[in-house]
Amino acid sequence: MSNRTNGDKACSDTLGLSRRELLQALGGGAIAAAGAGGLLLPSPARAYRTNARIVIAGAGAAGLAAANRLSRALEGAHITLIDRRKRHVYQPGLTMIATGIWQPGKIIDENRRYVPRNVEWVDAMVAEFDPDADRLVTDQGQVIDYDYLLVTTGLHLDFAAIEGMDPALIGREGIGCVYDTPEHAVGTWQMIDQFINAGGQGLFTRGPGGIKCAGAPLKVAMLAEDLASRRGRREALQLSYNAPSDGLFSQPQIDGFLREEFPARDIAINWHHRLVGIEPERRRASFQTPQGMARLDYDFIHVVPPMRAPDALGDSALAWQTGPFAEDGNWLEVDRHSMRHTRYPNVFGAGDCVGTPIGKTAASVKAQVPVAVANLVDTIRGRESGAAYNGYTSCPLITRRGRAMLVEFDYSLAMVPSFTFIDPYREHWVPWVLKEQMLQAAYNAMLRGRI
Amino acid sequence: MAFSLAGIFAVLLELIRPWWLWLAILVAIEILVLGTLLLRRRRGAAPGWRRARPMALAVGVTGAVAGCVFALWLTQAGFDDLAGWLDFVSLIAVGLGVGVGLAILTWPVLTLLRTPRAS
Repeated sequence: MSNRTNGDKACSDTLGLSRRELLQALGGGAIAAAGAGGLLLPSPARAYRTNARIVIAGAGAAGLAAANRLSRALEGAHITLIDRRKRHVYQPGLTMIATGIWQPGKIIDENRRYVPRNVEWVDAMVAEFDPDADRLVTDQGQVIDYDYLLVTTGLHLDFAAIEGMDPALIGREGIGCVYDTPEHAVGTWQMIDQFINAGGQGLFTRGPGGIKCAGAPLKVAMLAEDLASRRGRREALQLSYNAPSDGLFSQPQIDGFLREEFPARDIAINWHHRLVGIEPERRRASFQTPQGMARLDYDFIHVVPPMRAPDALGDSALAWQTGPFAEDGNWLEVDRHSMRHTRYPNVFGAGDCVGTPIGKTAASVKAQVPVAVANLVDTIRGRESGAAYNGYTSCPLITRRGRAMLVEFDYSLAMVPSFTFIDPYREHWVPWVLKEQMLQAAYNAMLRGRI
Repeated sequence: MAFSLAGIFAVLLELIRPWWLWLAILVAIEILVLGTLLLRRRRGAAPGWRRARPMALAVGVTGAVAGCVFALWLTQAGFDDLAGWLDFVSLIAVGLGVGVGLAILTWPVLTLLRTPRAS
């Protein structure tokens, strides 16, 4: 096993090039020699030789990005990616489908396009984690041993926690949901479209606790309102947003903005309203409130279910055993900065399944995966791991078709804008362009482990 | 979140990935046009770069204006959605980019049309 030193940079850019190294490469005419494309290609000379067995559980955004990064960072490692899903859905685009802005084909891709050649792809789902024995079992009964495990299973949409709700109802009986499949996002758009034309009562909900893309329920409410206004149908609709807590958004300034924006657009806010039941035939929803059960009739309802870790993860020793992340959704227990399991040092995690205070977004994945991979590689190399996730997350908060706010913040809830010239507190066209035209390309680059 | 230079290249690569074939065809056409111009010059025909310039400029200006409108249309937005200097500057920059790009791409073609096959 070689033991080449690689500087002290734990995690920085796409290629593991520090700014100094990049400048040296430029100065040395490396680009002229290799062509500009060479910058974007893997650099085998920098890969660390190892025969470690690494298993990545889940081929969503985090799993694919990690697979690509690991396959370039390590030479000779046996990397196994476990997931049955062949289809890859660009989930940040579901809101765009559900509000009639995009066509579904735009967000449907194939996982095989992003799985590196030197990664073994196991066509199964993880049924059981056994971290004490460093192994897991798939739903096909296959036992897979590992030296290192990266948990990127994503999360489970717990529709069953809402009495009477079934995902099959999405796109029928006035029920919509942007969190499920592209097909159901299309169904949601049909329901919103019909609702705006017919008029009536529209209920927008939000699942309690940690949910992925927590801005999506807000965007759907605002985009539906905007579309109704554009069609001259606003007066025919009564809209309400039902928040399960006393806040709309975790970042305080944006929360303040929304508290003014919703009433200004005549969207009523019902605080502490948690959706617990639905009667599709009667078009009636039940909300748990501090005053007891509230039942509201609707013509359209946007259902956002509670979310939790998949059973295989949530029921295992890898999940938080106590505390808010255990109660909230049995999320994966990791150190919030290193993305390393706090009890099993050969286990790391990234993406929607991790129990951290912030961020179940693609932007979080972009920030978490390089940290988890860098620390995993450092562990294999026997080095002190120093990469740290600062809680970065981002939400291009669409307020109406053509305008958005680029909200980026970290664990401290302080704004950390990538582009200092974009005011995160103001609605602009430019963030909308980023969301509408650019972010999917950035997402795909992330899947390839390039950013 | 900072983006590295390589990261920006990677995003640009993903942006143009669906258009690779068309871009390759465009580049091939440009190379063909420039090669033809070079060939005619060797045969003694002076290329009409200067004569084609006003037309190329006109194409560029038209392209810039169209680029502004196209950028809004492409993003399903309207002029009402422009909300400050950043949006206006960005839109103008997009328009200028489209205009300059079109002018550069059409100039050789227009020059070829104004260059005799041989002296």
